[in-house]
Amino acid sequence: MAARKAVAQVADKVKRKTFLSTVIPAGKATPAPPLGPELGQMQIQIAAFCKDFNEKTSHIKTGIPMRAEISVNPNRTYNITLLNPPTSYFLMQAAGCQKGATSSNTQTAGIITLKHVYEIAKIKGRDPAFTCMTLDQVCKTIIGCAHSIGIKVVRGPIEVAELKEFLARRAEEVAAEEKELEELRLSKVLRL
Amino acid sequence: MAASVRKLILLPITQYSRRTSLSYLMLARHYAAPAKKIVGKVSAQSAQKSKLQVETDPEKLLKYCCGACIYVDGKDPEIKADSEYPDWLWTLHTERSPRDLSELDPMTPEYWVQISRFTKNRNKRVWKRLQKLKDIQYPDDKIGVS
Repeated sequence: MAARKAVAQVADKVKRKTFLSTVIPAGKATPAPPLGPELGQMQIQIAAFCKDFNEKTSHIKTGIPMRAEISVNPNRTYNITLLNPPTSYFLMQAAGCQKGATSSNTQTAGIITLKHVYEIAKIKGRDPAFTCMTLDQVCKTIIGCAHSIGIKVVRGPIEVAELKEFLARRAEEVAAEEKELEELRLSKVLRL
Repeated sequence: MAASVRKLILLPITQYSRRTSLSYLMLARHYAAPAKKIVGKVSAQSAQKSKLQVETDPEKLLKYCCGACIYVDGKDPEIKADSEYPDWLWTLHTERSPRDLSELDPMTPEYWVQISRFTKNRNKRVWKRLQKLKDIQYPDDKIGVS
Protein backbone atom coordinates (compact mmCIF):
# COMPACT_ATOMS: atom_id res chain seq x y z
CA MET A 1 0.00 0.00 0.00
CA ALA A 2 2.77 2.39 1.01
CA ALA A 3 4.90 1.35 -2.00
CA ARG A 4 2.03 1.99 -4.42
CA LYS A 5 1.44 5.40 -2.85
CA ALA A 6 5.16 6.25 -3.19
CA VAL A 7 5.11 5.29 -6.90
CA ALA A 8 2.01 7.39 -7.47
CA GLN A 9 3.66 10.35 -5.75
CA VAL A 10 6.75 10.04 -7.92
CA ALA A 11 4.61 9.83 -11.05
CA ASP A 12 2.69 12.97 -9.99
CA LYS A 13 5.88 14.92 -9.36
CA VAL A 14 7.19 14.23 -12.86
CA LYS A 15 5.28 17.05 -14.58
CA ARG A 16 6.42 17.37 -18.14
CA LYS A 17 5.09 19.38 -21.01
CA THR A 18 2.52 17.25 -22.83
CA PHE A 19 1.53 19.38 -25.79
CA LEU A 20 3.45 21.22 -28.46
CA SER A 21 2.18 23.09 -31.51
CA THR A 22 4.93 23.93 -34.02
CA VAL A 23 5.72 24.46 -37.66
CA ILE A 24 8.24 21.97 -39.08
CA PRO A 25 9.44 21.88 -42.71
CA ALA A 26 8.12 18.74 -44.39
CA GLY A 27 10.71 15.99 -44.68
CA LYS A 28 13.30 18.13 -42.95
CA ALA A 29 12.77 17.47 -39.26
CA THR A 30 16.19 17.69 -37.61
CA PRO A 31 17.25 17.21 -34.00
CA ALA A 32 18.84 20.66 -34.09
CA PRO A 33 17.35 23.62 -32.20
CA PRO A 34 14.68 24.95 -32.06
CA LEU A 35 12.92 21.61 -32.47
CA GLY A 36 15.35 19.44 -30.48
CA PRO A 37 15.18 21.16 -27.08
CA GLU A 38 11.39 21.52 -27.33
CA LEU A 39 10.98 17.79 -27.89
CA GLY A 40 13.52 17.06 -25.19
CA GLN A 41 11.40 18.98 -22.69
CA MET A 42 8.57 16.57 -23.45
CA GLN A 43 11.00 13.65 -23.09
CA ILE A 44 10.48 12.30 -26.60
CA GLN A 45 13.20 10.36 -28.43
CA ILE A 46 14.22 13.09 -30.86
CA ALA A 47 15.86 10.92 -33.53
CA ALA A 48 12.90 8.52 -33.61
CA PHE A 49 10.49 11.45 -33.82
CA CYS A 50 12.35 13.01 -36.75
CA LYS A 51 12.32 9.73 -38.66
CA ASP A 52 8.61 9.28 -37.94
CA PHE A 53 7.78 12.84 -39.01
CA ASN A 54 9.78 12.64 -42.22
CA GLU A 55 8.04 9.41 -43.13
CA LYS A 56 4.62 10.93 -42.49
CA THR A 57 5.44 13.94 -44.69
CA SER A 58 7.02 11.93 -47.52
CA HIS A 59 3.95 12.51 -49.72
CA ILE A 60 4.33 16.27 -49.29
CA LYS A 61 6.81 18.44 -51.17
CA THR A 62 9.97 18.85 -49.09
CA GLY A 63 10.54 22.14 -47.33
CA ILE A 64 6.92 23.19 -47.04
CA PRO A 65 6.25 24.37 -43.46
CA MET A 66 3.77 21.94 -41.93
CA ARG A 67 1.86 22.69 -38.77
CA ALA A 68 2.18 19.77 -36.40
CA GLU A 69 0.56 19.21 -33.02
CA ILE A 70 2.52 16.84 -30.84
CA SER A 71 1.01 15.36 -27.69
CA VAL A 72 2.55 12.94 -25.21
CA ASN A 73 0.58 10.12 -23.58
CA PRO A 74 1.15 9.04 -19.97
CA ASN A 75 2.84 5.88 -21.21
CA ARG A 76 5.48 8.03 -22.96
CA THR A 77 4.23 7.43 -26.50
CA TYR A 78 3.60 10.49 -28.65
CA ASN A 79 1.00 11.38 -31.28
CA ILE A 80 1.63 13.66 -34.24
CA THR A 81 -1.33 15.43 -35.81
CA LEU A 82 -0.44 16.94 -39.17
CA LEU A 83 -2.36 20.04 -40.20
CA ASN A 84 -2.34 22.28 -43.25
CA PRO A 85 0.53 24.76 -43.64
CA PRO A 86 -0.03 28.24 -42.19
CA THR A 87 -2.19 30.69 -44.19
CA SER A 88 0.77 33.00 -44.71
CA TYR A 89 2.57 30.26 -46.66
CA PHE A 90 -0.32 29.85 -49.09
CA LEU A 91 -0.74 33.60 -49.52
CA MET A 92 2.95 34.28 -50.18
CA GLN A 93 3.14 31.44 -52.70
CA ALA A 94 0.04 32.62 -54.53
CA ALA A 95 1.32 36.21 -54.63
CA GLY A 96 4.83 35.14 -55.64
CA CYS A 97 6.68 36.88 -52.80
CA GLN A 98 9.43 35.24 -50.75
CA LYS A 99 9.33 37.86 -48.03
CA GLY A 100 6.39 39.63 -46.48
CA ALA A 101 6.29 43.39 -46.06
CA THR A 102 8.40 44.87 -43.25
CA SER A 103 5.70 47.46 -42.60
CA SER A 104 2.37 46.12 -43.83
CA ASN A 105 0.67 49.51 -43.35
CA THR A 106 2.78 51.23 -45.99
CA GLN A 107 4.33 48.47 -48.10
CA THR A 108 2.70 46.06 -50.55
CA ALA A 109 4.46 42.72 -50.80
CA GLY A 110 2.17 41.14 -53.40
CA ILE A 111 -1.18 41.31 -55.15
CA ILE A 112 -3.85 38.63 -55.12
CA THR A 113 -7.39 38.35 -56.44
CA LEU A 114 -10.49 37.20 -54.58
CA LYS A 115 -10.44 34.03 -56.68
CA HIS A 116 -7.05 33.10 -55.25
CA VAL A 117 -8.47 33.71 -51.78
CA TYR A 118 -11.35 31.37 -52.57
CA GLU A 119 -9.04 28.60 -53.73
CA ILE A 120 -6.93 28.95 -50.59
CA ALA A 121 -10.09 28.98 -48.45
CA LYS A 122 -11.17 25.66 -49.97
CA ILE A 123 -7.94 24.08 -48.71
CA LYS A 124 -7.68 25.87 -45.36
CA GLY A 125 -11.37 25.32 -44.64
CA ARG A 126 -10.55 21.66 -43.97
CA ASP A 127 -8.46 22.67 -40.94
CA PRO A 128 -9.98 21.69 -37.57
CA ALA A 129 -9.82 25.36 -36.52
CA PHE A 130 -12.36 26.25 -39.19
CA THR A 131 -14.80 23.37 -38.59
CA CYS A 132 -17.86 25.42 -37.74
CA MET A 133 -17.13 28.31 -40.07
CA THR A 134 -18.72 28.92 -43.44
CA LEU A 135 -16.47 29.45 -46.47
CA ASP A 136 -17.11 33.19 -46.57
CA GLN A 137 -15.97 33.49 -42.94
CA VAL A 138 -12.79 31.56 -43.82
CA CYS A 139 -12.26 33.94 -46.75
CA LYS A 140 -12.56 36.92 -44.42
CA THR A 141 -9.91 35.38 -42.12
CA ILE A 142 -7.59 34.86 -45.07
CA ILE A 143 -8.07 38.44 -46.27
CA GLY A 144 -7.21 39.63 -42.77
CA CYS A 145 -4.05 37.51 -42.81
CA ALA A 146 -3.14 38.93 -46.22
CA HIS A 147 -3.43 42.47 -44.87
CA SER A 148 -1.11 41.68 -41.98
CA ILE A 149 1.58 40.36 -44.34
CA GLY A 150 1.17 43.30 -46.72
CA ILE A 151 -0.50 41.44 -49.58
CA LYS A 152 -3.14 43.46 -51.38
CA VAL A 153 -6.41 41.75 -52.23
CA VAL A 154 -8.09 42.95 -55.41
CA ARG A 155 -11.61 42.25 -56.62
CA GLY A 156 -11.19 42.56 -60.36
CA PRO A 157 -8.78 40.77 -62.73
CA ILE A 158 -5.12 41.78 -62.82
CA GLU A 159 -3.29 42.46 -66.09
CA VAL A 160 -0.19 40.35 -66.70
CA ALA A 161 1.88 43.40 -67.61
CA GLU A 162 0.78 45.18 -64.42
CA LEU A 163 1.80 42.23 -62.27
CA LYS A 164 5.13 41.92 -64.07
CA GLU A 165 5.91 45.59 -63.41
CA PHE A 166 4.89 45.25 -59.76
CA LEU A 167 7.06 42.16 -59.25
CA ALA A 168 10.08 43.93 -60.77
CA ARG A 169 9.61 46.94 -58.47
CA ARG A 170 9.12 44.71 -55.45
CA ALA A 171 12.31 42.77 -56.25
CA GLU A 172 14.26 46.04 -56.27
CA GLU A 173 12.74 47.08 -52.91
CA VAL A 174 13.55 43.72 -51.34
CA ALA A 175 17.14 43.81 -52.66
CA ALA A 176 17.65 47.30 -51.17
CA GLU A 177 16.23 46.19 -47.80
CA GLU A 178 18.39 43.07 -47.70
CA LYS A 179 21.49 45.13 -48.47
CA GLU A 180 20.67 47.46 -45.55
CA LEU A 181 20.13 44.55 -43.18
CA GLU A 182 23.37 42.89 -44.28
CA GLU A 183 25.28 46.13 -43.65
CA LEU A 184 23.71 46.40 -40.19
CA ARG A 185 24.70 42.84 -39.37
CA LEU A 186 28.28 43.34 -40.56
CA SER A 187 28.63 46.58 -38.60
CA LYS A 188 27.49 44.82 -35.43
CA VAL A 189 30.01 42.03 -35.99
CA LEU A 190 32.88 44.44 -36.63
CA ARG A 191 31.95 46.51 -33.57
CA LEU A 192 32.28 43.46 -31.31
CA MET B 1 35.46 32.41 8.93
CA ALA B 2 35.67 34.58 12.05
CA ALA B 3 34.99 37.72 9.99
CA SER B 4 31.81 36.24 8.49
CA VAL B 5 30.58 35.17 11.94
CA ARG B 6 31.25 38.70 13.24
CA LYS B 7 29.27 40.10 10.31
CA LEU B 8 26.32 37.82 11.06
CA ILE B 9 26.23 39.05 14.66
CA LEU B 10 26.77 42.72 13.81
CA LEU B 11 24.32 43.01 10.93
CA PRO B 12 21.09 42.79 12.95
CA ILE B 13 22.40 45.41 15.39
CA THR B 14 23.20 48.04 12.74
CA GLN B 15 20.52 50.21 11.19
CA TYR B 16 18.07 48.50 8.91
CA SER B 17 18.80 50.83 6.00
CA ARG B 18 22.55 50.27 6.23
CA ARG B 19 22.05 46.51 6.30
CA THR B 20 19.91 46.58 3.19
CA SER B 21 22.37 48.84 1.41
CA LEU B 22 25.19 46.46 2.34
CA SER B 23 23.26 43.50 0.99
CA TYR B 24 22.45 45.54 -2.11
CA LEU B 25 26.15 46.25 -2.62
CA MET B 26 26.97 42.60 -2.14
CA LEU B 27 24.34 41.67 -4.69
CA ALA B 28 25.51 44.31 -7.15
CA ARG B 29 29.08 43.05 -7.18
CA HIS B 30 28.29 39.91 -9.14
CA TYR B 31 28.52 41.19 -12.68
CA ALA B 32 27.77 39.00 -15.68
CA ALA B 33 30.62 37.90 -17.91
CA PRO B 34 31.15 40.13 -20.96
CA ALA B 35 29.43 38.95 -24.14
CA LYS B 36 31.60 36.70 -26.25
CA LYS B 37 32.36 37.50 -29.86
CA ILE B 38 29.75 35.96 -32.16
CA VAL B 39 31.52 36.41 -35.48
CA GLY B 40 31.12 32.84 -36.65
CA LYS B 41 27.55 32.49 -35.36
CA VAL B 42 26.16 35.46 -37.32
CA SER B 43 27.33 34.17 -40.68
CA ALA B 44 26.12 30.64 -39.86
CA GLN B 45 22.68 31.93 -38.92
CA SER B 46 22.32 33.96 -42.11
CA ALA B 47 23.37 30.94 -44.17
CA GLN B 48 20.92 28.61 -42.41
CA LYS B 49 17.84 30.74 -43.14
CA SER B 50 16.83 29.29 -46.48
CA LYS B 51 13.96 30.91 -48.31
CA LEU B 52 11.12 29.03 -49.96
CA GLN B 53 11.01 28.64 -53.71
CA VAL B 54 8.38 30.87 -55.23
CA GLU B 55 6.83 31.14 -58.67
CA THR B 56 8.09 34.23 -60.50
CA ASP B 57 6.24 33.99 -63.80
CA PRO B 58 3.32 36.49 -63.61
CA GLU B 59 1.26 34.55 -66.14
CA LYS B 60 1.41 31.40 -64.04
CA LEU B 61 0.67 33.35 -60.87
CA LEU B 62 -2.54 34.66 -62.40
CA LYS B 63 -3.57 31.42 -64.10
CA TYR B 64 -3.06 29.02 -61.19
CA CYS B 65 -3.22 29.43 -57.44
CA CYS B 66 0.48 28.63 -57.05
CA GLY B 67 1.59 26.72 -53.99
CA ALA B 68 -1.94 25.58 -53.16
CA CYS B 69 -1.13 21.94 -53.85
CA ILE B 70 1.30 20.77 -51.15
CA TYR B 71 1.42 17.12 -52.27
CA VAL B 72 4.17 15.71 -54.42
CA ASP B 73 1.83 14.34 -57.07
CA GLY B 74 -0.83 16.89 -57.81
CA LYS B 75 -1.25 20.13 -59.66
CA ASP B 76 -2.07 23.61 -58.46
CA PRO B 77 -5.76 24.45 -58.88
CA GLU B 78 -6.57 26.58 -61.90
CA ILE B 79 -8.24 29.96 -61.56
CA LYS B 80 -11.60 29.64 -63.30
CA ALA B 81 -13.96 32.14 -64.91
CA ASP B 82 -15.99 34.53 -62.77
CA SER B 83 -19.20 32.58 -63.22
CA GLU B 84 -17.82 29.47 -61.52
CA TYR B 85 -17.35 31.25 -58.19
CA PRO B 86 -20.18 31.91 -55.70
CA ASP B 87 -21.91 35.29 -55.65
CA TRP B 88 -21.00 36.11 -52.05
CA LEU B 89 -17.31 36.14 -53.04
CA TRP B 90 -17.71 39.46 -54.85
CA THR B 91 -19.30 41.11 -51.82
CA LEU B 92 -16.28 40.53 -49.55
CA HIS B 93 -14.51 43.60 -48.22
CA THR B 94 -10.94 43.65 -49.59
CA GLU B 95 -9.67 47.00 -48.31
CA ARG B 96 -7.62 47.39 -45.16
CA SER B 97 -9.67 50.36 -43.98
CA PRO B 98 -13.00 49.62 -42.27
CA ARG B 99 -16.21 49.42 -44.24
CA ASP B 100 -18.15 52.60 -44.97
CA LEU B 101 -21.39 52.87 -42.98
CA SER B 102 -23.35 53.77 -46.09
CA GLU B 103 -22.60 50.31 -47.52
CA LEU B 104 -24.03 48.47 -44.55
CA ASP B 105 -27.66 47.74 -43.74
CA PRO B 106 -28.93 49.08 -40.37
CA MET B 107 -30.94 45.87 -39.98
CA THR B 108 -27.73 43.78 -39.70
CA PRO B 109 -25.57 43.49 -36.56
CA GLU B 110 -22.42 44.36 -38.59
CA TYR B 111 -23.72 47.92 -39.01
CA TRP B 112 -24.03 48.47 -35.27
CA VAL B 113 -20.73 46.74 -34.51
CA GLN B 114 -19.04 49.15 -36.91
CA ILE B 115 -20.81 52.11 -35.29
CA SER B 116 -19.60 51.05 -31.84
CA ARG B 117 -16.03 50.75 -33.20
CA PHE B 118 -16.19 54.22 -34.72
CA THR B 119 -17.59 55.77 -31.54
CA LYS B 120 -14.95 54.06 -29.37
CA ASN B 121 -12.14 55.44 -31.53
CA ARG B 122 -13.76 58.87 -31.63
CA ASN B 123 -14.15 58.91 -27.84
CA LYS B 124 -10.47 58.07 -27.44
CA ARG B 125 -9.47 60.94 -29.72
CA VAL B 126 -11.81 63.37 -27.95
CA TRP B 127 -10.50 62.33 -24.52
CA LYS B 128 -6.89 62.92 -25.60
CA ARG B 129 -7.71 66.36 -26.97
CA LEU B 130 -9.59 67.30 -23.80
CA GLN B 131 -6.55 66.29 -21.76
CA LYS B 132 -4.30 68.49 -23.90
CA LEU B 133 -6.71 71.40 -23.52
CA LYS B 134 -6.79 70.88 -19.75
CA ASP B 135 -2.99 70.92 -19.62
CA ILE B 136 -2.96 74.24 -21.44
CA GLN B 137 -5.75 75.87 -19.41
CA TYR B 138 -4.72 74.57 -15.98
CA PRO B 139 -0.99 73.75 -16.10
CA ASP B 140 -0.73 73.77 -12.29
CA ASP B 141 -3.58 71.32 -11.81
CA LYS B 142 -1.83 68.07 -10.89
CA ILE B 143 -4.91 66.07 -9.81
CA GLY B 144 -4.68 62.59 -11.20
CA VAL B 145 -0.94 62.89 -11.92
CA SER B 146 1.31 61.00 -9.45
